[in-house]
Amino acid sequence: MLATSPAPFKTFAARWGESFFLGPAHRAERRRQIRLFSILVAAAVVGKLLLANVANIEPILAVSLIGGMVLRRAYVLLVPIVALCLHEVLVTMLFYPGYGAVRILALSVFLVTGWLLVSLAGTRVRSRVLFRTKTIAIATAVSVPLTVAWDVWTAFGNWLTISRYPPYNWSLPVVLEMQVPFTLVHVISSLLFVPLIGFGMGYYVEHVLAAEEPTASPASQEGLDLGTETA
Amino acid sequence: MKLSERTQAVLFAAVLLASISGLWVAVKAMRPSCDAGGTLVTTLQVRGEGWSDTATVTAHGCTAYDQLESWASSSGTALESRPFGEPLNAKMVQSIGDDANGEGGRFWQFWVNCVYATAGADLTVLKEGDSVHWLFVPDPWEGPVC
Repeated sequence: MLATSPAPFKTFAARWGESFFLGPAHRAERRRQIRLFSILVAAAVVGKLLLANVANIEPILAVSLIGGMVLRRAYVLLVPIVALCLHEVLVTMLFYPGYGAVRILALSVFLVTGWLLVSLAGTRVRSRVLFRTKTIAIATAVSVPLTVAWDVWTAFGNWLTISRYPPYNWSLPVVLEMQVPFTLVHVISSLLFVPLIGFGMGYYVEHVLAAEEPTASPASQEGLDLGTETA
Repeated sequence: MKLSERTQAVLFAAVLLASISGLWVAVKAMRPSCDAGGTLVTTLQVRGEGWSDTATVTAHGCTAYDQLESWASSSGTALESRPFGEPLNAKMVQSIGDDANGEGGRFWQFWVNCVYATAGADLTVLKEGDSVHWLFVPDPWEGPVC
C-alpha cells in the first residue's frame, strides 16, 4: 500500500514540475528561466548594495515588475520571494543589526505581498505588448501607481506591526503623511530603474538569448514577442 | 501617424527626464528651510550609557539636528550621522559620544516635547522653547522619557 504514491501527490508533483519546467523535455526553457531569474536577482542585490545609503532609491520593485514581464510560471513568484530574503539579509543584518528582527519579520509579509502584486502586474503588461520602447514606456507608466500602492500597503503594514505601538503611538494618517516624501523618492527610483532594467533585459532576451537559442523565440524588427502565457 | 522606434525612444526619454526633474524639485521643497542667520533657543537632554547632559542650546538653524549639532560642537561631544543621499538628503544619527546605534540592541531615538518624533532629526522643525530628549535605549522603548 505504501509503495505506491497516492494520486493527489502525483498531481502535486506533476504540477510542481511543470511550474519549474522540470524534466528533460523542458531543459531549454528551464535554462532560459534560470538565467533570466539569476540576472534579475543579481541586479536587485547589486543595486541594493550600491544604493544602501540612499533612502528609497532601490531596484527591487523594478526587478519584480520586469520579472513578471520576462519570466514564466513559478519563476515569476520566485523573484519577489528571493528579493525579500536578500533584502532581509543584506539590509537588516548588515545595516541595522539587532533592530527588532521579529517586528521586521512581521513587516516582511507586507513587503513580499506587495512585490508579488507588482510581479503579477508585470505578467499583465507582458501579455499585451511586444518588447520595445512602447512596452517599456507602458511598464514605466504602470510602475508609478504600483509604487504608490506598494508604499501605501507597506506603510499600512508598518503601522499595523510597529508604529501604532509605544513609543511611537502614531495614527495611520500620520504614518501615511510621513510616507509622502519617501514615496516621491520611490517613484523617482521606479522611473529610473524600470527603463534601465527593462531595456537591459530586453536587449539580453532579444539579442543574447535569441542568438544562443535561435529556435526558441525569434526576434523581429517589431521587437520580441514574449508570448501570452502568464504565471 | 506611426512614430518610428527612435522617435518614440527620444519622446520617452524626454518625458522621463521631465517627470524625474519635477519629482526631484518637489522632494527638495519638502525639506525644512530655516531663516538664514536666525537662531533658536531650545532645551536639550541627551542620555547615553552611564552619562547624560542637559543644556539650553542656542542653535543656528531650526531643526532638531541643528540643535544637536550645536550642542555637540559646544560641549566637545562626538556626533556621527549617516547621510541618506539626494534628493531628500536626510541624516540618521549613528552615534553620540561613545554610544553607537546597535550596541546592546540600543539605538538613539528622540522626543520633542515628550512626544516621539515623526521625522528624522534634520527634518523636524523646532520652535522657540521646545525641549528635545535624545535617549540611547532599546527599540521599542516604553520607559520614562520626560
